[in-house]
Amino acid sequence: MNHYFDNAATSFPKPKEVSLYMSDYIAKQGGTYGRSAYPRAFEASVKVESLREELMSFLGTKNSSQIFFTFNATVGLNTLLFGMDLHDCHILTSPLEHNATMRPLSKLAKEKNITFDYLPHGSDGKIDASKIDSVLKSSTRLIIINHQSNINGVIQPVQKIKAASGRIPVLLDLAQSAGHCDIELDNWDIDFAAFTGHKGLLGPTGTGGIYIKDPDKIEPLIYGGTGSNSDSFEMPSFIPDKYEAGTPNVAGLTGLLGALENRPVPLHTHEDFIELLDKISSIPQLTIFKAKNSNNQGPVFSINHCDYSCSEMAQILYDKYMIETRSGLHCAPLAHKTLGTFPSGTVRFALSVYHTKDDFDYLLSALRSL
Amino acid sequence: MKPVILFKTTRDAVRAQRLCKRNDISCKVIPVPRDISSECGMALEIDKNDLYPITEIFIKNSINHDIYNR
Repeated sequence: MNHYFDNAATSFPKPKEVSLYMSDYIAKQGGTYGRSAYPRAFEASVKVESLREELMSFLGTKNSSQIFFTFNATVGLNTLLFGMDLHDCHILTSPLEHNATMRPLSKLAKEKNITFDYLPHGSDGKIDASKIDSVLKSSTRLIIINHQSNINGVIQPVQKIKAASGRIPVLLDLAQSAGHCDIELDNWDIDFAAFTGHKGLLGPTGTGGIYIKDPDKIEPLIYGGTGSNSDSFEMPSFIPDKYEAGTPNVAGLTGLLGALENRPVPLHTHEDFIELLDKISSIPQLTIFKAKNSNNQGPVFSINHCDYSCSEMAQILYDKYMIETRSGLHCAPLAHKTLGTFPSGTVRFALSVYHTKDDFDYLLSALRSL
Repeated sequence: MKPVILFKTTRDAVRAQRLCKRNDISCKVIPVPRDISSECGMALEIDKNDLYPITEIFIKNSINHDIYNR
């Protein structure tokens, strides 16, 4: 039985190759990225570059040279938002943003005269692309979209939003969607994206990255050694070195390569999941927070109970059934305000490909017994 | 001495070595020679006869490189 329903925080279990690749690197292979030319260092560099190539299909881009490694999606979003030279302008965001976006935006609002508004949306937070025209301003410089909500799993209609946004650049937060949803950065003509390696991609923590369509538009966030242009105090202007100062997390990136090269076959179908949601929706004591349309439903949902607080419910689920969930605001107060669950929060359930129909039945019977 | 091919980035050096391998061209990964630069990165040492075909391949694959004839 798999009782772990906190995969939106970090995935577990992971493919066995994640730990195999990492332990092999740490115990036997070793070596840094670049910097030296002996075989150990070269092989470590090959692993990192193989990962960059491998990520192309997961992100829907043909150009691996526009993918840069960071330690997670948060560092990626900070790199993008502080590297764009945004000032004295207007930004639009989805109504389901995480604080990885909202806190940098708040700082930009205070220090760089940025204003921001939320894209028009339905009650589940799904953006209504047909109404985007009404909120665009002549000063709008960026649109930020949390591709898949970490609260109710709503998947945003990115292609329609991009089409309705004209030439305004779009930044996609792929923290929850990468590895779960189809992503087509090239076909959708996306300008910027940030992803993490330890959630849907099933890799280790401390891995992630960004995609930049035009690297001339983003200044680096971190400055330091790159193994290139070492005679200069200036950061290289060429990629990927421009965005990858300091020794990368080679052990972690090797583990992520292990995850991507050994993707497990899902043990349940989308229909199984939707059936679970329908059954949970019919439990009278519970309120469920999910996408209105099952076609826009990612593998995350939240619930509240009429008598218990979310923290009480999470504790009962663990104490009685060993079901692991996350309660509270999930670092996304804006999303909870949009859904009417602020400040009390919800209990969140986040699936992985390793859940079976039997795991769903177990969860359902636990929820029915509350 | 064999010619040396220099790259701006580790990424290009890795891609170049792979292309050599894929095209059965023998190469050796070496530190960037000190008389060329104080760079701490890697370079490829290659047979003179393979220089023309492999640089054609590098150009085709958008790999930035410089050739240093020793």
